[in-house]
Amino acid sequence: MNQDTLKPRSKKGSLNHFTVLIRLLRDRKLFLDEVRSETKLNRKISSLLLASSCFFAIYGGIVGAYGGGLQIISSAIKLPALYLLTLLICVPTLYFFDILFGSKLNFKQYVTMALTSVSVISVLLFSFAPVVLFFLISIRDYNFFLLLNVLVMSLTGCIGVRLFYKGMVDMAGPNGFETKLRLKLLQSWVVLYGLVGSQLGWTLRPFVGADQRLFELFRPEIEGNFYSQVFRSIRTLMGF
Amino acid sequence: MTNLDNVRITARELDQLTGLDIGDVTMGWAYRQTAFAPAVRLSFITEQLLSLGVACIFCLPVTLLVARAASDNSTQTVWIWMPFGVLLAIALTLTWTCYRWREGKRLITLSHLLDDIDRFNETVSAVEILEELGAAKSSRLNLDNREEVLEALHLTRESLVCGLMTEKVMRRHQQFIARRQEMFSSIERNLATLQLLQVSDEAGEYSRLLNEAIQIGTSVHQELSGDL
Repeated sequence: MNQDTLKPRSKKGSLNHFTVLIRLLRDRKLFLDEVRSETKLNRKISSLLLASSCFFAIYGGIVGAYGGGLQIISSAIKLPALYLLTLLICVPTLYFFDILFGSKLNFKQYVTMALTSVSVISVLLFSFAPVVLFFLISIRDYNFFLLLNVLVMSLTGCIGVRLFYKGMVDMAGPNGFETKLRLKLLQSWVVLYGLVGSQLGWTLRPFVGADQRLFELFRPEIEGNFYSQVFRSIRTLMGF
Repeated sequence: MTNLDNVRITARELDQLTGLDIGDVTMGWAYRQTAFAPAVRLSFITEQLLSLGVACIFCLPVTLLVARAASDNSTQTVWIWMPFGVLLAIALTLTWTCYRWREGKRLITLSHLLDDIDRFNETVSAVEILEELGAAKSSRLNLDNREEVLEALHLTRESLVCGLMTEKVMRRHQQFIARRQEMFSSIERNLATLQLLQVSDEAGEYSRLLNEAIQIGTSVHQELSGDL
Protein backbone atom coordinates (compact mmCIF):
# COMPACT_ATOMS: atom_id res chain seq x y z
CA MET A 1 0.00 0.00 0.00
CA ASN A 2 1.28 3.45 -0.86
CA GLN A 3 1.97 5.04 2.50
CA ASP A 4 1.58 8.54 1.06
CA THR A 5 -2.16 8.03 0.85
CA LEU A 6 -2.29 7.54 4.61
CA LYS A 7 -0.55 10.79 5.44
CA PRO A 8 -2.70 13.55 6.91
CA ARG A 9 -3.92 15.89 4.19
CA SER A 10 -2.22 19.25 4.01
CA LYS A 11 -3.85 22.04 6.00
CA LYS A 12 -4.06 25.17 3.94
CA GLY A 13 -4.67 27.50 6.88
CA SER A 14 -4.74 31.14 5.89
CA LEU A 15 -5.12 30.35 2.18
CA ASN A 16 -8.63 29.10 3.01
CA HIS A 17 -9.65 32.68 3.77
CA PHE A 18 -9.21 33.61 0.13
CA THR A 19 -11.03 30.46 -0.97
CA VAL A 20 -14.14 31.70 0.85
CA LEU A 21 -13.95 34.97 -1.07
CA ILE A 22 -13.46 33.19 -4.39
CA ARG A 23 -16.49 31.01 -3.60
CA LEU A 24 -18.52 34.15 -2.94
CA LEU A 25 -17.51 35.60 -6.30
CA ARG A 26 -18.06 32.36 -8.22
CA ASP A 27 -21.42 31.31 -6.79
CA ARG A 28 -23.10 34.19 -5.02
CA LYS A 29 -26.47 32.44 -4.87
CA LEU A 30 -25.08 29.41 -3.05
CA PHE A 31 -23.16 31.70 -0.73
CA LEU A 32 -26.32 33.63 0.14
CA ASP A 33 -28.19 30.36 0.69
CA GLU A 34 -25.51 29.35 3.16
CA VAL A 35 -25.79 32.70 4.96
CA ARG A 36 -29.56 32.24 5.09
CA SER A 37 -29.18 28.76 6.60
CA GLU A 38 -26.43 30.05 8.95
CA THR A 39 -23.87 27.61 7.53
CA LYS A 40 -20.30 28.27 8.68
CA LEU A 41 -20.93 31.94 9.47
CA ASN A 42 -17.95 32.22 11.84
CA ARG A 43 -15.56 31.12 9.15
CA LYS A 44 -17.21 33.34 6.57
CA ILE A 45 -16.91 36.39 8.83
CA SER A 46 -13.25 35.82 9.70
CA SER A 47 -12.28 34.91 6.14
CA LEU A 48 -14.05 37.85 4.52
CA LEU A 49 -12.58 40.21 7.11
CA LEU A 50 -9.02 39.00 6.56
CA ALA A 51 -9.23 38.70 2.78
CA SER A 52 -10.90 42.08 2.26
CA SER A 53 -8.38 43.75 4.62
CA CYS A 54 -5.53 42.37 2.49
CA PHE A 55 -7.03 43.61 -0.79
CA PHE A 56 -7.85 47.04 0.65
CA ALA A 57 -4.34 47.30 2.11
CA ILE A 58 -2.77 46.53 -1.28
CA TYR A 59 -4.93 49.11 -3.05
CA GLY A 60 -4.30 51.60 -0.23
CA GLY A 61 -0.57 51.05 -0.63
CA ILE A 62 -0.81 51.81 -4.35
CA VAL A 63 -2.83 54.98 -3.68
CA GLY A 64 -0.29 56.04 -1.05
CA ALA A 65 2.55 55.42 -3.49
CA TYR A 66 1.73 58.82 -5.04
CA GLY A 67 3.01 60.47 -1.83
CA GLY A 68 5.66 57.76 -1.34
CA GLY A 69 7.51 56.69 1.83
CA LEU A 70 5.41 56.61 4.98
CA GLN A 71 2.29 57.54 3.03
CA ILE A 72 2.29 54.02 1.53
CA ILE A 73 2.09 52.39 4.98
CA SER A 74 -0.36 55.00 6.24
CA SER A 75 -2.75 54.51 3.31
CA ALA A 76 -2.39 50.73 3.49
CA ILE A 77 -3.81 50.92 7.02
CA LYS A 78 -6.25 53.80 6.50
CA LEU A 79 -8.05 52.48 3.41
CA PRO A 80 -9.14 49.16 5.01
CA ALA A 81 -9.98 51.14 8.17
CA LEU A 82 -12.20 53.45 6.12
CA TYR A 83 -14.34 50.61 4.78
CA LEU A 84 -14.33 48.38 7.87
CA LEU A 85 -14.94 51.14 10.40
CA THR A 86 -17.81 52.46 8.27
CA LEU A 87 -19.26 48.98 8.47
CA LEU A 88 -18.74 48.81 12.21
CA ILE A 89 -20.47 52.15 12.65
CA CYS A 90 -23.43 51.39 10.37
CA VAL A 91 -24.29 47.70 10.88
CA PRO A 92 -25.88 48.07 14.35
CA THR A 93 -28.23 50.74 12.95
CA LEU A 94 -29.39 48.42 10.18
CA TYR A 95 -29.73 45.43 12.51
CA PHE A 96 -31.78 47.10 15.23
CA PHE A 97 -34.05 49.03 12.84
CA ASP A 98 -34.59 45.96 10.67
CA ILE A 99 -35.50 43.61 13.52
CA LEU A 100 -37.83 46.30 14.80
CA PHE A 101 -39.70 46.10 11.49
CA GLY A 102 -39.94 42.30 11.36
CA SER A 103 -36.60 40.90 10.20
CA LYS A 104 -35.89 37.31 11.26
CA LEU A 105 -32.15 37.42 10.52
CA ASN A 106 -29.63 37.43 13.35
CA PHE A 107 -26.71 39.80 13.93
CA LYS A 108 -24.12 37.37 12.53
CA GLN A 109 -26.08 37.15 9.28
CA TYR A 110 -26.16 40.96 9.00
CA VAL A 111 -22.41 41.17 9.66
CA THR A 112 -21.75 38.47 7.05
CA MET A 113 -23.93 40.23 4.49
CA ALA A 114 -22.25 43.57 5.12
CA LEU A 115 -18.81 41.94 4.91
CA THR A 116 -19.88 40.30 1.66
CA SER A 117 -20.49 43.73 0.18
CA VAL A 118 -17.21 45.12 1.52
CA SER A 119 -15.33 42.09 0.22
CA VAL A 120 -16.76 42.54 -3.27
CA ILE A 121 -15.67 46.20 -3.14
CA SER A 122 -12.18 45.14 -2.04
CA VAL A 123 -11.82 42.64 -4.88
CA LEU A 124 -13.06 45.21 -7.41
CA LEU A 125 -10.61 47.79 -6.09
CA PHE A 126 -7.84 45.19 -6.31
CA SER A 127 -8.82 44.51 -9.91
CA PHE A 128 -8.45 48.25 -10.64
CA ALA A 129 -5.01 48.33 -9.00
CA PRO A 130 -3.01 47.80 -12.25
CA VAL A 131 -4.97 50.62 -13.96
CA VAL A 132 -4.36 53.01 -11.06
CA LEU A 133 -0.70 51.96 -10.94
CA PHE A 134 -0.39 52.68 -14.66
CA PHE A 135 -1.80 56.21 -14.26
CA LEU A 136 0.36 56.73 -11.19
CA ILE A 137 3.46 56.02 -13.24
CA SER A 138 2.42 57.82 -16.43
CA ILE A 139 0.70 61.02 -15.16
CA ARG A 140 1.99 63.12 -12.28
CA ASP A 141 -1.04 65.27 -11.47
CA TYR A 142 -2.43 65.33 -7.93
CA ASN A 143 -5.99 66.38 -8.84
CA PHE A 144 -6.21 63.87 -11.66
CA PHE A 145 -4.97 61.03 -9.42
CA LEU A 146 -7.35 62.11 -6.64
CA LEU A 147 -10.35 62.20 -8.97
CA LEU A 148 -9.35 58.92 -10.60
CA ASN A 149 -9.42 57.26 -7.18
CA VAL A 150 -12.69 58.93 -6.26
CA LEU A 151 -14.13 57.60 -9.52
CA VAL A 152 -12.81 54.06 -8.95
CA MET A 153 -13.99 54.00 -5.34
CA SER A 154 -17.42 55.41 -6.26
CA LEU A 155 -17.86 52.85 -9.01
CA THR A 156 -16.78 49.88 -6.89
CA GLY A 157 -18.74 51.21 -3.92
CA CYS A 158 -21.92 51.49 -5.99
CA ILE A 159 -21.53 47.92 -7.29
CA GLY A 160 -20.79 46.56 -3.81
CA VAL A 161 -23.70 48.37 -2.18
CA ARG A 162 -26.04 47.36 -5.00
CA LEU A 163 -25.06 43.70 -4.51
CA PHE A 164 -25.63 44.09 -0.78
CA TYR A 165 -29.07 45.61 -1.38
CA LYS A 166 -30.04 42.82 -3.78
CA GLY A 167 -28.62 40.22 -1.41
CA MET A 168 -30.64 41.56 1.51
CA VAL A 169 -33.83 41.56 -0.57
CA ASP A 170 -33.08 37.95 -1.67
CA MET A 171 -32.35 36.91 1.90
CA ALA A 172 -35.65 38.31 3.13
CA GLY A 173 -37.51 36.18 0.55
CA PRO A 174 -40.58 37.11 -1.55
CA ASN A 175 -42.65 38.16 1.47
CA GLY A 176 -39.78 39.55 3.49
CA PHE A 177 -40.34 43.15 2.47
CA GLU A 178 -44.14 43.14 2.50
CA THR A 179 -44.08 46.43 4.36
CA LYS A 180 -42.76 49.24 2.16
CA LEU A 181 -41.29 50.83 5.25
CA ARG A 182 -38.69 48.06 5.61
CA LEU A 183 -37.55 48.43 2.03
CA LYS A 184 -37.32 52.21 2.49
CA LEU A 185 -35.32 51.57 5.64
CA LEU A 186 -32.81 49.45 3.73
CA GLN A 187 -32.53 52.13 1.02
CA SER A 188 -32.01 54.82 3.66
CA TRP A 189 -29.33 52.69 5.29
CA VAL A 190 -27.47 52.43 1.99
CA VAL A 191 -27.49 56.25 1.76
CA LEU A 192 -26.37 56.48 5.40
CA TYR A 193 -23.53 54.03 4.69
CA GLY A 194 -22.37 56.25 1.81
CA LEU A 195 -22.54 59.40 3.91
CA VAL A 196 -20.70 57.90 6.90
CA GLY A 197 -18.09 56.42 4.55
CA SER A 198 -17.41 59.67 2.77
CA GLN A 199 -17.19 61.64 6.02
CA LEU A 200 -14.87 59.06 7.59
CA GLY A 201 -12.76 59.23 4.44
CA TRP A 202 -12.56 63.00 4.89
CA THR A 203 -11.57 62.58 8.57
CA LEU A 204 -8.89 59.98 7.80
CA ARG A 205 -7.35 61.89 4.87
CA PRO A 206 -4.76 62.15 3.34
CA PHE A 207 -4.77 58.89 1.40
CA VAL A 208 -2.88 60.19 -1.61
CA GLY A 209 -0.47 62.71 -0.13
CA ALA A 210 -0.34 66.07 -1.91
CA ASP A 211 2.65 67.37 -3.83
CA GLN A 212 5.06 69.64 -1.98
CA ARG A 213 3.68 68.67 1.42
CA LEU A 214 5.47 66.70 4.09
CA PHE A 215 3.99 63.42 5.29
CA GLU A 216 1.02 63.91 7.61
CA LEU A 217 -0.91 61.25 9.49
CA PHE A 218 -4.03 63.41 9.32
CA ARG A 219 -4.63 66.76 7.69
CA PRO A 220 -4.69 69.54 10.30
CA GLU A 221 -7.73 71.21 8.70
CA ILE A 222 -10.83 69.52 10.11
CA GLU A 223 -13.37 71.88 8.51
CA GLY A 224 -14.83 71.23 5.05
CA ASN A 225 -16.16 67.98 3.66
CA PHE A 226 -15.52 65.33 1.10
CA TYR A 227 -17.95 66.67 -1.51
CA SER A 228 -16.62 70.24 -1.49
CA GLN A 229 -13.06 68.89 -1.94
CA VAL A 230 -14.14 66.77 -4.94
CA PHE A 231 -15.84 69.84 -6.43
CA ARG A 232 -12.67 71.92 -5.85
CA SER A 233 -10.51 69.25 -7.52
CA ILE A 234 -12.79 69.13 -10.57
CA ARG A 235 -12.64 72.95 -10.86
CA THR A 236 -8.82 72.92 -10.59
CA LEU A 237 -8.51 70.13 -13.15
CA MET A 238 -10.77 71.98 -15.58
CA GLY A 239 -8.73 75.14 -15.06
CA PHE A 240 -11.44 77.30 -13.47
CA MET B 1 -15.50 -0.83 -7.79
CA THR B 2 -17.49 0.87 -5.04
CA ASN B 3 -17.88 4.54 -4.34
CA LEU B 4 -17.13 4.95 -0.66
CA ASP B 5 -18.62 8.46 -0.39
CA ASN B 6 -21.40 7.16 1.82
CA VAL B 7 -18.80 5.84 4.28
CA ARG B 8 -16.85 9.09 4.47
CA ILE B 9 -17.91 11.55 7.19
CA THR B 10 -18.54 14.79 5.32
CA ALA B 11 -17.94 18.35 6.51
CA ARG B 12 -21.68 19.02 6.52
CA GLU B 13 -22.29 15.94 8.67
CA LEU B 14 -19.57 17.09 11.05
CA ASP B 15 -21.21 20.50 11.39
CA GLN B 16 -24.59 18.91 12.06
CA LEU B 17 -23.28 16.30 14.50
CA THR B 18 -21.20 18.72 16.52
CA GLY B 19 -23.42 21.80 16.21
CA LEU B 20 -20.23 23.76 15.45
CA ASP B 21 -18.51 25.11 12.37
CA ILE B 22 -15.71 22.57 11.91
CA GLY B 23 -12.65 23.51 9.90
CA ASP B 24 -9.24 21.97 9.32
CA VAL B 25 -7.80 23.75 12.36
CA THR B 26 -10.87 25.19 14.08
CA MET B 27 -14.06 24.12 15.88
CA GLY B 28 -16.32 27.16 15.89
CA TRP B 29 -13.97 29.89 17.09
CA ALA B 30 -11.89 27.40 19.11
CA TYR B 31 -8.57 26.04 17.90
CA ARG B 32 -8.23 22.32 17.27
CA GLN B 33 -5.06 20.58 18.44
CA THR B 34 -4.06 20.32 14.77
CA ALA B 35 -3.68 24.13 14.70
CA PHE B 36 -0.47 23.80 16.73
CA ALA B 37 1.02 20.91 14.74
CA PRO B 38 4.50 21.58 13.30
CA ALA B 39 3.19 20.94 9.76
CA VAL B 40 0.86 23.96 9.94
CA ARG B 41 3.08 26.22 12.05
CA LEU B 42 3.80 28.55 9.16
CA SER B 43 0.15 29.02 8.28
CA PHE B 44 -0.66 29.51 12.00
CA ILE B 45 1.95 32.27 12.24
CA THR B 46 0.68 33.81 8.98
CA GLU B 47 -2.84 33.80 10.38
CA GLN B 48 -1.67 35.46 13.60
CA LEU B 49 0.11 38.15 11.59
CA LEU B 50 -2.98 38.71 9.47
CA SER B 51 -5.09 38.97 12.63
CA LEU B 52 -2.61 41.49 14.04
CA GLY B 53 -2.88 43.44 10.79
CA VAL B 54 -6.68 43.53 11.04
CA ALA B 55 -6.43 44.56 14.71
CA CYS B 56 -4.07 47.39 13.69
CA ILE B 57 -6.55 48.46 11.01
CA PHE B 58 -9.21 48.87 13.68
CA CYS B 59 -7.15 50.06 16.65
CA LEU B 60 -4.59 52.44 15.13
CA PRO B 61 -6.88 54.88 13.29
CA VAL B 62 -9.43 54.91 16.13
CA THR B 63 -6.74 55.57 18.77
CA LEU B 64 -5.16 58.31 16.67
CA LEU B 65 -8.49 59.95 15.85
CA VAL B 66 -9.45 59.95 19.54
CA ALA B 67 -6.03 61.37 20.47
CA ARG B 68 -6.42 64.04 17.81
CA ALA B 69 -9.88 65.01 19.04
CA ALA B 70 -8.77 64.99 22.71
CA SER B 71 -5.64 67.06 22.08
CA ASP B 72 -7.38 69.75 20.03
CA ASN B 73 -5.77 68.67 16.76
CA SER B 74 -2.18 68.49 17.99
CA THR B 75 0.05 66.55 15.55
CA GLN B 76 2.64 65.81 18.24
CA THR B 77 0.09 64.17 20.54
CA VAL B 78 -1.15 62.04 17.66
CA TRP B 79 2.39 60.71 17.08
CA ILE B 80 2.87 60.09 20.83
CA TRP B 81 -0.31 57.99 20.92
CA MET B 82 0.73 55.79 18.02
CA PRO B 83 2.58 53.15 20.15
CA PHE B 84 -0.54 52.88 22.33
CA GLY B 85 -2.58 52.04 19.23
CA VAL B 86 -0.07 49.34 18.24
CA LEU B 87 -0.02 47.97 21.81
CA LEU B 88 -3.80 47.89 21.85
CA ALA B 89 -3.80 45.93 18.59
CA ILE B 90 -1.23 43.45 19.96
CA ALA B 91 -3.21 43.06 23.19
CA LEU B 92 -6.41 42.50 21.23
CA THR B 93 -4.78 39.85 19.01
CA LEU B 94 -3.24 38.07 22.02
CA THR B 95 -6.54 38.10 23.92
CA TRP B 96 -8.37 36.73 20.91
CA THR B 97 -5.77 33.96 20.36
CA CYS B 98 -5.80 33.05 24.07
CA TYR B 99 -9.59 32.89 24.05
CA ARG B 100 -9.55 30.56 21.05
CA TRP B 101 -6.82 28.42 22.63
CA ARG B 102 -8.73 28.16 25.92
CA GLU B 103 -11.92 27.24 24.08
CA GLY B 104 -9.88 24.59 22.27
CA LYS B 105 -8.71 23.19 25.63
CA ARG B 106 -12.32 23.04 26.77
CA LEU B 107 -13.23 21.07 23.65
CA ILE B 108 -10.21 18.75 23.79
CA THR B 109 -12.34 15.57 23.53
CA LEU B 110 -14.00 16.88 20.38
CA SER B 111 -10.62 17.86 19.00
CA HIS B 112 -9.31 14.28 19.44
CA LEU B 113 -12.48 12.87 17.89
CA LEU B 114 -12.08 15.17 14.89
CA ASP B 115 -8.47 14.04 14.46
CA ASP B 116 -9.71 10.44 14.46
CA ILE B 117 -12.33 11.36 11.86
CA ASP B 118 -9.65 12.97 9.68
CA ARG B 119 -7.61 9.77 9.89
CA PHE B 120 -10.72 7.70 9.16
CA ASN B 121 -11.53 9.75 6.05
CA GLU B 122 -7.95 9.37 4.88
CA THR B 123 -8.22 5.60 5.33
CA VAL B 124 -11.41 5.60 3.26
CA SER B 125 -9.59 7.51 0.53
CA ALA B 126 -6.74 4.99 0.68
CA VAL B 127 -9.19 2.09 0.29
CA GLU B 128 -10.79 3.88 -2.66
CA ILE B 129 -7.43 4.31 -4.34
CA LEU B 130 -6.56 0.65 -3.74
CA GLU B 131 -9.86 -0.40 -5.30
CA GLU B 132 -9.17 1.77 -8.33
CA LEU B 133 -5.69 0.26 -8.65
CA GLY B 134 -7.18 -3.20 -8.24
CA ALA B 135 -9.57 -2.50 -11.11
CA ALA B 136 -6.59 -2.05 -13.43
CA LYS B 137 -5.76 -5.55 -14.66
CA SER B 138 -2.03 -5.01 -14.72
CA SER B 139 -1.97 -4.00 -11.09
CA ARG B 140 -0.84 -6.54 -8.51
CA LEU B 141 -2.37 -4.48 -5.73
CA ASN B 142 -5.72 -5.67 -4.46
CA LEU B 143 -7.82 -5.87 -1.34
CA ASP B 144 -8.00 -9.54 -0.36
CA ASN B 145 -10.54 -9.15 2.40
CA ARG B 146 -12.67 -6.38 0.89
CA GLU B 147 -15.92 -7.22 2.67
CA GLU B 148 -14.23 -7.28 6.04
CA VAL B 149 -12.51 -3.98 5.37
CA LEU B 150 -15.81 -2.36 4.36
CA GLU B 151 -17.56 -3.74 7.43
CA ALA B 152 -14.75 -2.46 9.63
CA LEU B 153 -15.05 0.96 8.00
CA HIS B 154 -18.81 1.02 8.55
CA LEU B 155 -18.39 -0.01 12.19
CA THR B 156 -15.70 2.62 12.74
CA ARG B 157 -17.90 5.23 11.15
CA GLU B 158 -20.79 4.31 13.44
CA SER B 159 -18.54 4.48 16.50
CA LEU B 160 -17.19 7.87 15.49
CA VAL B 161 -20.65 9.28 14.80
CA CYS B 162 -21.83 7.88 18.14
CA GLY B 163 -18.81 9.45 19.82
CA LEU B 164 -19.58 12.85 18.28
CA MET B 165 -23.22 12.68 19.35
CA THR B 166 -22.26 11.72 22.92
CA GLU B 167 -19.72 14.52 23.06
CA LYS B 168 -22.33 17.00 21.88
CA VAL B 169 -24.79 15.89 24.58
CA MET B 170 -22.08 16.04 27.25
CA ARG B 171 -21.00 19.49 26.04
CA ARG B 172 -24.54 20.84 25.99
CA HIS B 173 -25.14 19.62 29.55
CA GLN B 174 -21.69 20.36 30.87
CA GLN B 175 -23.00 22.78 33.48
CA PHE B 176 -25.45 20.18 34.71
CA ILE B 177 -22.77 17.49 34.89
CA ALA B 178 -20.42 19.89 36.66
CA ARG B 179 -23.03 20.17 39.41
CA ARG B 180 -23.18 16.37 39.92
CA GLN B 181 -22.22 16.54 43.62
CA GLU B 182 -25.09 18.88 44.24
CA MET B 183 -27.34 16.62 42.15
CA PHE B 184 -26.38 13.48 44.10
CA SER B 185 -26.94 15.12 47.46
CA SER B 186 -30.32 16.36 46.24
CA ILE B 187 -31.34 12.84 45.12
CA GLU B 188 -30.15 11.34 48.40
CA ARG B 189 -32.04 13.97 50.38
CA ASN B 190 -35.21 13.24 48.42
CA LEU B 191 -34.75 9.50 48.90
CA ALA B 192 -34.36 9.95 52.64
CA THR B 193 -37.56 12.02 52.73
CA LEU B 194 -39.41 9.38 50.73
CA GLN B 195 -38.22 6.58 53.03
CA LEU B 196 -39.29 8.59 56.06
CA LEU B 197 -42.73 9.04 54.50
CA GLN B 198 -42.93 5.25 53.90
CA VAL B 199 -42.35 4.54 57.58
CA SER B 200 -45.11 6.93 58.64
CA ASP B 201 -47.60 5.68 56.03
CA GLU B 202 -47.32 1.90 55.56
CA ALA B 203 -50.71 0.93 54.18
CA GLY B 204 -52.90 1.65 51.18
CA GLU B 205 -52.53 2.95 47.61
CA TYR B 206 -50.42 5.91 48.71
CA SER B 207 -47.83 3.53 50.16
CA ARG B 208 -47.66 1.56 46.90
CA LEU B 209 -47.06 4.72 44.89
CA LEU B 210 -44.47 5.80 47.40
CA ASN B 211 -42.67 2.46 47.04
CA GLU B 212 -42.57 2.86 43.28
CA ALA B 213 -41.20 6.36 43.66
CA ILE B 214 -38.46 5.04 45.96
CA GLN B 215 -37.58 2.29 43.50
CA ILE B 216 -37.38 4.78 40.61
CA GLY B 217 -35.32 7.14 42.73
CA THR B 218 -32.94 4.35 43.77
CA SER B 219 -32.45 3.10 40.20
CA VAL B 220 -31.79 6.64 38.95
CA HIS B 221 -29.26 7.07 41.72
CA GLN B 222 -27.57 3.76 40.84
CA GLU B 223 -27.49 4.58 37.12
CA LEU B 224 -25.97 7.99 37.71
CA SER B 225 -23.43 6.64 40.20
CA GLY B 226 -22.45 3.97 37.68
CA ASP B 227 -22.11 6.40 34.75
CA LEU B 228 -20.19 9.16 36.42
